Amino acid sequence: MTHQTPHSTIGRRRVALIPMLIVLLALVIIASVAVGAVMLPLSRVMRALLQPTTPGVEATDAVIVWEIRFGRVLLAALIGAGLAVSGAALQGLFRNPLADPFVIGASSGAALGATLAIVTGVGPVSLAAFAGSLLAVAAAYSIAEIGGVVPATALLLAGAALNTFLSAIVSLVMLFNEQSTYAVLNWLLGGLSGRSWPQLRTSVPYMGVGLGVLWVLARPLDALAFGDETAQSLGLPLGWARIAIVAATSLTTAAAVAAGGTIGFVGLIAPHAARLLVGANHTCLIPASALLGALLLLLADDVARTVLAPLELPAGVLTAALGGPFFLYLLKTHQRILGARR
Amino acid sequence: MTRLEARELTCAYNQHTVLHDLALIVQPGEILALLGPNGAGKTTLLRALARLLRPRTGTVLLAGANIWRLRPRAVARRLALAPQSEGVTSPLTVEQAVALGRAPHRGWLLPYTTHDYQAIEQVLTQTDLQALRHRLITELSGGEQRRVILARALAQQPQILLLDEPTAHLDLRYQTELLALIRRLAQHDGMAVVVTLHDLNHAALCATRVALLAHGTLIAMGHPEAVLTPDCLSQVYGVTVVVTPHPVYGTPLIAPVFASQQKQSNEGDKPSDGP
Amino acid sequence: MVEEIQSRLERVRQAVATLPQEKRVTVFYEVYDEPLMTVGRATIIGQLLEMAGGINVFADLGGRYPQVSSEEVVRRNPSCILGHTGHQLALTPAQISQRPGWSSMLAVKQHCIRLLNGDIVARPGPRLAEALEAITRALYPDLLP
Repeated sequence: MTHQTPHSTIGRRRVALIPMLIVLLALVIIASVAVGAVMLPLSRVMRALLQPTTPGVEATDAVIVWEIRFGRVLLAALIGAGLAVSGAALQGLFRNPLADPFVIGASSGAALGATLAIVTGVGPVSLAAFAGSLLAVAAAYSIAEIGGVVPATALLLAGAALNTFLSAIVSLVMLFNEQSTYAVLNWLLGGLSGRSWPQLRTSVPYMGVGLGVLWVLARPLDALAFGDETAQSLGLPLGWARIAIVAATSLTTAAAVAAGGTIGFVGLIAPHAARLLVGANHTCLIPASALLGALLLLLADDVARTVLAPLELPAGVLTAALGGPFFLYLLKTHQRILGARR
Repeated sequence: MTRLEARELTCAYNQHTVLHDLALIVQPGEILALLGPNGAGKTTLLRALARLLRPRTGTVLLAGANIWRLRPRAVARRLALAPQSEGVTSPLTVEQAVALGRAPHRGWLLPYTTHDYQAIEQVLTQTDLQALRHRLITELSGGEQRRVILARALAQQPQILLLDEPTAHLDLRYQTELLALIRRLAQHDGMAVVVTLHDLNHAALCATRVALLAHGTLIAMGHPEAVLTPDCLSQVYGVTVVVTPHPVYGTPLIAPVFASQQKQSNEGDKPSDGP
Repeated sequence: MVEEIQSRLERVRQAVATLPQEKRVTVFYEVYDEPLMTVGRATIIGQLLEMAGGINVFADLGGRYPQVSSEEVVRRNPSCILGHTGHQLALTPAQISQRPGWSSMLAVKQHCIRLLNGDIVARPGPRLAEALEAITRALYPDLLP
């Protein structure tokens, strides 16, 4: 047996994929800036990015690149990353490959908040969505709690019930407020139209905290994958770990839906794809999920604002359209790693 | 000295009492085998000792302190459990799964140190998992998964090791290696080991003391020769046995006898006809 | 009453006809902000815009209320932005001009962002002439008496 130096060889080859993903993301960000209703050749993009004040650079180029697109592209990457990491964390918490960031009520709560704000015209829609999201998760959590303990299954069920209930209320509100239907539907489909630096600035603090906390909780997530009892016998304070995971994911998800509406599929697919690339160890899985989620949403938004220009499709429609078949493909070819088959 | 003690231990699931007023002590360097028929309460007792099941009445004491007054992590640094089965859904590598055993010492947030990796290496060697270290645990056989669970418990570097049916699903070679490993851990490393076993002969080979349970009560406890007698075993298991000394070690070797072939106790005799 | 409407429409048409081509204003008419929607030619408002002498920057798009991207509005650089207030539209010119990238637009630089009364403009009916007059005044403040 070869004498191993006592440092980690744990997945070193796979960890090397992460810097590669970072580089890929940077390239896609730059490429995304070139793409849109107004197609800019890469040379004009680079000039607009690097020398915006040089005469000869089309004035609208610089405006489009700097004030609209760059902010939007970065926001797409951030939202994608946030949703993906939330999805990964909840899949780990619930030991369920079907979990996504919206599973404990975050989406329906946000939808209700946004709908009420749109219909009544009171307050900024994003703030209402943010608050609605957090309140719904808090409600699910307190419903599931029995004597200080929150069993994972109970939380999942409470979230599902809450989702159904709140969605019904949203439908009712829409029924009685026909003029708002279009606006509400547009919000529900999720997209980055008209979003840029202002939304980015508001989201970054919440996402940063949420993502940071979840990455730090990597080892507890690994232990939880073996079941509550194993985690307990390894000394994990179950109650605190659960609260931390739920709080961090709801903060991240709330910020994501406040900025971009309910964009589905990213939070479900990106973690699975990441698992295929770097394995199930959360210390690698979480950053990989973030990068893949960012890439997925970036690509979806690129297509959304280009394919029928100047019309802009909601990005959420595209994540589902692209993500669905991709996920089915993954399922067919890699069942064991996805946990669909032992 | 880290000893584990149960006093007046009564445990129940809902309204159904599973353990009645149990008492036992395990000292460092000892191997206590818990024996008994299915449903006797062996696994329940182990879980109660491992701070997973809160007793209805009575206490479990770790080095004299009530285990439920200690924080889980403090307990996990000194006591490790290798359960019988686990839902293995997460496709971690063997190495990553075993590494989790370092969490009680290193904590849940900080990266592992060289010392941690040394411990992991040692444990992988002890359980003969070096060749499998990069394999996904979801792709292992049942027996290999058991060894991973054991390795993780050993990675906790516990003073008290609780093992639930560690020899189940293992072939003869690994069973023998495991029993030898348990003996080494107790004799050389001074661990206190509590192990539930189905196979009475395994218990006789490695245990310093044996506890026989039935219906949640302690029927007998003591040295294997004293407890593993034909009378005691027939009372608990309802089966006739013949007990002879192990040819090499002299420990009790239990041979069951089919009811229709009952013979007068005659040490060394084998039944003359087949069933 | 119909005659009154027709004569008012005619008066506006004649006034607009006196506008030379280079003085015609490019307009972006915002029907809704999220999603960003404008009017096509086949709508009442679209036709009113034409009659008022404005050039709808999105006249080339088919459909009645096409959704457009923010970027495209910036690129087409209208000199005037029109919209109407209503129950859901609590927009102010200040909010519109603060949108990412819009500050470079001619309409924002020239402070030509006018919000009309939704009751008059958004519903077809007897107040059609009022609507046309309101739009014309918004685009060409000095044209009508």
